[in-house]
Amino acid sequence: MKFGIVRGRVTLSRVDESIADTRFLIVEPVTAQNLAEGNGKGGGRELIAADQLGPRMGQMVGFVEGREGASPWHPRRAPIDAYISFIVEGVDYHPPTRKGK
Amino acid sequence: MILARIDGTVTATVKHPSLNGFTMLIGMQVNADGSECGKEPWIILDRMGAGRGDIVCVTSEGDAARQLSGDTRIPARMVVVGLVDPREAKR
Repeated sequence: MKFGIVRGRVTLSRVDESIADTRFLIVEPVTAQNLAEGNGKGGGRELIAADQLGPRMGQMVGFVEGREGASPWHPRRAPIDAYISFIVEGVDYHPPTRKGK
Repeated sequence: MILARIDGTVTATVKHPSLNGFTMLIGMQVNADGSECGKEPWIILDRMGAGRGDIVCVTSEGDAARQLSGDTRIPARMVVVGLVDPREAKR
């Protein structure tokens, strides 16, 4: 999983019926530097992730990419490759000091 | 599998229920010489008691997460499978 910040929501006018009830959110991955600074910035390339938890805009989440994004639908199959696994409550993050800080 | 340096932890109460029982660590992928790979840290599931500063061996295969959690619906891939012996962490 990686950290992401919820930036928006995608509404689909047509969608495969296997995922018709699914919410899709725009997520911006968070770099180590932005996570360490806690500045609310992401810095990664935005992606679309399926969501069943309901985070607010701007909230930080943990998301998984790959086939495991469809695991919550098991044993059904779902054409999904990214999924919001949890909503971040607290982060305790102390990477080694980087140059330029 | 990859090596990761553990730099912290993350907590969540709103989460997929399959994640209960795991500690969620924040780790940076590293090479064997300790240099970092990539810009975004991983959130890694752990039941082995790894902590900040540890170098761990992480599987990135979702079936490993399904095996270790016993839950086929777990939406996660990165799981600690072992802690690297500090005496062997540097070469």
